[in-house]
Amino acid sequence: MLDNGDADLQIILPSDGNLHQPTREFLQSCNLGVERSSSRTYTGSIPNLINTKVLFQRAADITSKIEEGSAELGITGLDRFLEYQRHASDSTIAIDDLGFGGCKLVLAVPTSWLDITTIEDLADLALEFRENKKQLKIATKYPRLISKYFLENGIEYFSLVTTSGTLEAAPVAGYADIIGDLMATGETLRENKLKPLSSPAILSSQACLIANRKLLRVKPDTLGQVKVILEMMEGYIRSKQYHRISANIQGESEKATVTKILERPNLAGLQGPTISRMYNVNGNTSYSITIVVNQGVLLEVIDHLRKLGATDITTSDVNYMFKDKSYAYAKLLSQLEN
Amino acid sequence: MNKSIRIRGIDDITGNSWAILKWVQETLSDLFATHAYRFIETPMLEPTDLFVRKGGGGITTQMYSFSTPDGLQVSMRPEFTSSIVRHCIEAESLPRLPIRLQYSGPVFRFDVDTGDNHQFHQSGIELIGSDHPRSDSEVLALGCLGISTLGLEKTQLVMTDLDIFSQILNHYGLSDRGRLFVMNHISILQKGGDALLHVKEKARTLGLLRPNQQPKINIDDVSSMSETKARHLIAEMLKRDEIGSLGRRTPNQITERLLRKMWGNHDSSNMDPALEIAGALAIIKGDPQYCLKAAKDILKAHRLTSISLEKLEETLNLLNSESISDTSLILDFGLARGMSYYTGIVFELTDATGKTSFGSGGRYDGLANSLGSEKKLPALGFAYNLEHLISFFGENPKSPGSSEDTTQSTLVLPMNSESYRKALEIAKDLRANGNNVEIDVFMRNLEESIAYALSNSIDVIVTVGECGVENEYNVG
Repeated sequence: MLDNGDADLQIILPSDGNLHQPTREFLQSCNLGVERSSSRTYTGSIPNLINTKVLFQRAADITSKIEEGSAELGITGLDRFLEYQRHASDSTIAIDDLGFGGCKLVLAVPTSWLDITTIEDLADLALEFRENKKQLKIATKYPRLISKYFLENGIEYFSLVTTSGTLEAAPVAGYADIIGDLMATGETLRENKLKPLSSPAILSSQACLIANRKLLRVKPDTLGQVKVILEMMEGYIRSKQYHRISANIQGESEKATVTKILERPNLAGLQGPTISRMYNVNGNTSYSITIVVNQGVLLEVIDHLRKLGATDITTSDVNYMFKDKSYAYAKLLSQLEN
Repeated sequence: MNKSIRIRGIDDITGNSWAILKWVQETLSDLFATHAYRFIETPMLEPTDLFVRKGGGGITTQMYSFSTPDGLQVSMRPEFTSSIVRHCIEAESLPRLPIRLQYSGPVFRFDVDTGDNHQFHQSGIELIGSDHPRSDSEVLALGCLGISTLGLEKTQLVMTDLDIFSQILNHYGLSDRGRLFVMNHISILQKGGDALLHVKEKARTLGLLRPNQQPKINIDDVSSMSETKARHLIAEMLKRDEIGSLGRRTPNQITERLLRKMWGNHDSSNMDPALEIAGALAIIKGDPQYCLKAAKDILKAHRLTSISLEKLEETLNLLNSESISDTSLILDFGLARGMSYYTGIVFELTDATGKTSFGSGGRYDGLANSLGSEKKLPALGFAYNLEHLISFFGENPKSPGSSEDTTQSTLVLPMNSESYRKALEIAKDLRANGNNVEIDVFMRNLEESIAYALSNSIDVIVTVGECGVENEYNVG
């Protein structure tokens, strides 16, 4: 057991769609694995965190469920949160990058529109349509985000066709000219003879953790479990950026070996190496060193160590990386005060 | 269950608030009627498209829209003008022009910035069929007169004429998109200083101002071909199977736009001077004579004629000084902000500080065409925001509540079940004499009835026995 809160904390997870399975796997990695008696039940528990109830809801409904106060926490796509969040509401984002469920909200036009490649082209076309007494019609499940984007880009004449069905068919079926939808690989768009605009995506989305501030304010007893959840998630997400490297280096002395490694401070680990004397049958003076490095410099570090005579270099994943405090939790607490 | 199931920002209107609102509506309606404006009641629910065609997609973010059970996309009206112009287009044989119409009722808008819901009331007029400066001055004068008739003093009429900007944009031959960009950025240009530089930078990012960089085209070879050859190549590409549907566009439309895009855009070289002049005009505000002169000087410096300014001058000369005597008149060329559907004069009626808008209006000669009319139908009008007007009433001596209300509220109290029939007869007589009368249905005794009367603004309690009136108690 990680914590022993008194009050029941409720967390809503997606019961369907692209986020369902990755969410379960993510929580498992955070040591917050969910138990659910069968796929037909809509509740579950986190055995490592008592007094915490898991509710499974349709991904599309999670934002509104958190908004109305059905649960303290929820995991949903950033796209859906920004689309459905009400103004001045009690919901907030606790962690905006859980590291899975990545996709982009893009505008896609028929491939045959050779002249349309950017949002500026589309702005021009919207006016051309208007001159011909037509409205540029956009099929989308994201009317708020799309209309905001259009207005920001100086497009005033358009109409939105909101639909919950398959959007890609809309231009061929004739009920819209273009679509505003999520794109992961672009394969579905291509199959339906649509192409995304080359302009930057309207939104780069991934899964996020959201919270109801009002509920957390009136149930401070749940903050214990909330802190555990945020700590574990933050620690896990951060750890993905790092590798632990171990290597054996021959050297005259511990100090001389460390000095050589520290000659390249940016390749010497987050806080410098941990070093210990090795005793081997050859009688050489060898040291075993361990450093934690950002994955972006992994090969550079290995090269650096090789030049210092390192052998038997091994790397391993870091499970969690905790800093001096949980920054996500501190941020949430400050949001509760506002 | 929630305590309140009311939508925040959409309120019940009762008691004195209701009486004041009704009085304002009736007072304005009577005034408009004396100027031959006939009342029209338009639907509260209209096809979403009607409003979008007027206000563009921006209005969709402010509207309450939903699907009818048979799938039609409809919206609660955010304003009246579109419905009235639609009405005029639909009238099979238009009566002899001009048509003068007045309206009053609630409109519904969502405030995107604050997230607030709003139901508020508008009263207004539309004068349809005339583009003469006389109709402009009639509507302006009536706008001012309405406010003074309600007893409000020291108001401002702030106005401009968009034809001045149209003249500049026409002169430089900007596309509709270029024109819309300039008009939508007047509010920023109005700030002066670096605003012009920022707007030019935005125009550059939108491809409206020459970036000295050719747009990327997938088929690079085409730009070096002769026009005939390029057209032929594009036509062949569009015929290929893998290219898919063209949607609602024709091969010709795609070809024309593509060639235009490759071989340069007329706007990019003309946007710069157009923005320079619009920026210079946008910061002119103040006394009409001073502003007209300053605007003329700017046009002259750019070798443009001042025909549009002369028309505005004529409108101002026609304004009967008596009808706007309580109002100070201000010209503000920066008022042209975000009003893409207006074509001539636009104006706003405000309090003396200019912070509260009592109403606004203008000319929208192109709206009928946007709504599908084949004929040109010039029109203009204005709408008051009644809640804003009422918020300035204070101790307004003309409004109800402050004047002596002669109607007496009476509670008739049968003293026992046998006297109820007698009470009905007495109540009937009292009503015939102009009283508002209610009969007790709660079996209250006299003491309880007095408490009830005190909390419900009842003036008199009449107790009734089997033989008739027993006593009268003045409560109010």
